[in-house]
Amino acid sequence: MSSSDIRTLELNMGPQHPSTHGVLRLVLRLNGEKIEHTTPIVGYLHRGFEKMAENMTYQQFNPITDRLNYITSMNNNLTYAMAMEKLLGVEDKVPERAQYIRVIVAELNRIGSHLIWLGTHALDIGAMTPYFYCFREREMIVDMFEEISGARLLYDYVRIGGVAKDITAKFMDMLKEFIKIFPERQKEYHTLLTKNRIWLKRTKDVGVINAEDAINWGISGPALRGSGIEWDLRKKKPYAVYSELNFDIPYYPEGDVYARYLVRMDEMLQSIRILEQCINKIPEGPYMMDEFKKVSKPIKPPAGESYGYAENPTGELGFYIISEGKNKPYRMKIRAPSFVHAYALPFMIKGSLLSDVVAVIGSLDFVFGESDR
Amino acid sequence: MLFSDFRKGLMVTFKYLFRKPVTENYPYEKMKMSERARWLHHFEPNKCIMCKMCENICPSKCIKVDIGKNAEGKRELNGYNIDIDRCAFCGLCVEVCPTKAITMTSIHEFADSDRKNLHFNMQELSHTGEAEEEQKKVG
Repeated sequence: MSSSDIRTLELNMGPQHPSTHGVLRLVLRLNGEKIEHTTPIVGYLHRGFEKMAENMTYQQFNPITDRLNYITSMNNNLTYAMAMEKLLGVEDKVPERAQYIRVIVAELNRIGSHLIWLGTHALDIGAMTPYFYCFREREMIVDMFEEISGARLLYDYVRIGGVAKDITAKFMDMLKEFIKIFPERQKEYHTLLTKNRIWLKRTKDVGVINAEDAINWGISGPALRGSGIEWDLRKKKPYAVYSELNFDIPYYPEGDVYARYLVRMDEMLQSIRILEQCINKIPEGPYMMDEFKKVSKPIKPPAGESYGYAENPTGELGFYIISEGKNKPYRMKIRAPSFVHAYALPFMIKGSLLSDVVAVIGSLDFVFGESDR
Repeated sequence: MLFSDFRKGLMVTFKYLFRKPVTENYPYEKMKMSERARWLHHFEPNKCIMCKMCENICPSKCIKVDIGKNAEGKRELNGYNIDIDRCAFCGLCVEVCPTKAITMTSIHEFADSDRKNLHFNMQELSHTGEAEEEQKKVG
């Protein structure tokens, strides 16, 4: 049989496939087991958040931002709050204690998000054990958030002008306990995965994207750092109190799934470093600006526009808000990293095997609540 | 070669054989809820001043305050309904309330197969405080 006789096969993957992390649908054109062409189809989780924002007051939209990337609610709240503060021109007036609390919860949520990513990514590739260990550690973080905000998943904690409630002494104890335990536990994940032969075979030289292509596709966050670019908004364009804290940006030049894995693993330890410094540095004082304490008081920013950005666990999240001087925004655009990554996926998996698709999807850490908005 | 990888992984698993389980035996052992837990609402009709602030702030528009007039022509609270089916448990209604007439309890076991049972009226909401006390006694 000559090669011209081989016909390509169209294969539909998702939206209910367990390894597409939510509702991503891929239409794959296969030549044998090699992928020739991929069409990603997103939008199955579209809830119209951008349009909802136009019909809501600024405070009412805060709980909605939780639901973008429901694993990193604290980071979403923080990004939205920063965009609003920029619009109102009160960036410098936010109390220092509030800024430290924001960094603490953002970093904790970063670890929590990376733990979920690690567990599900390993589960996709076939290692089931890390999943249980990751969720055990994440439970500690979720308990901490429940202590301060009252909710376990959608916190609505970081608000415009500060945070909703002050942190408690019990929370600080739990935090210190977590910092003590976590590095030890993380060594276990390394033992199970990092040098494991099966893990290396499944992740090394899979889904490679070089630095230039990564920039051109608009990839951000750990996926960009896995391609050898030292770019982290926390360091390059510091917000909150990140400029006062010492931490490194882990990056690896290989650009494959394994490099992205190592970046996230190192990032978790860097977050622990940040948390340690925050515990020592956190000052006493108010946790919220007085003018925003009352939620019922309408916020009317002056006419204008602002772009708030932050380094989320998945990548760069941005809120672009246009105000007309009313208590509702004229337009709100959300820049979701998952959406950008979903469109870079076909480029990364071109020519690779079908079974590698799940590995690449896992390494990009999509959450479709954010992508489809 | 591959055998050494298996051994390393299984050593971790083996260590866990002798540790206590970290999971909770949920339906038999109740979870300890946070002091700030945001679950089913509690409403006190005599504290309510009928300002409708909770109704206005609610992002999911699930609170309905029914205000009528009594025989003397004064404003009167006829009903207070929360559609828990739509509630996002964000807690904004509790924050805006000037008289603390609406609060949130730690009651979280109200799943139902019928949506109609998730519409709570004033009568039901004013008794959730007692139910919470009972739940604490059991737990």
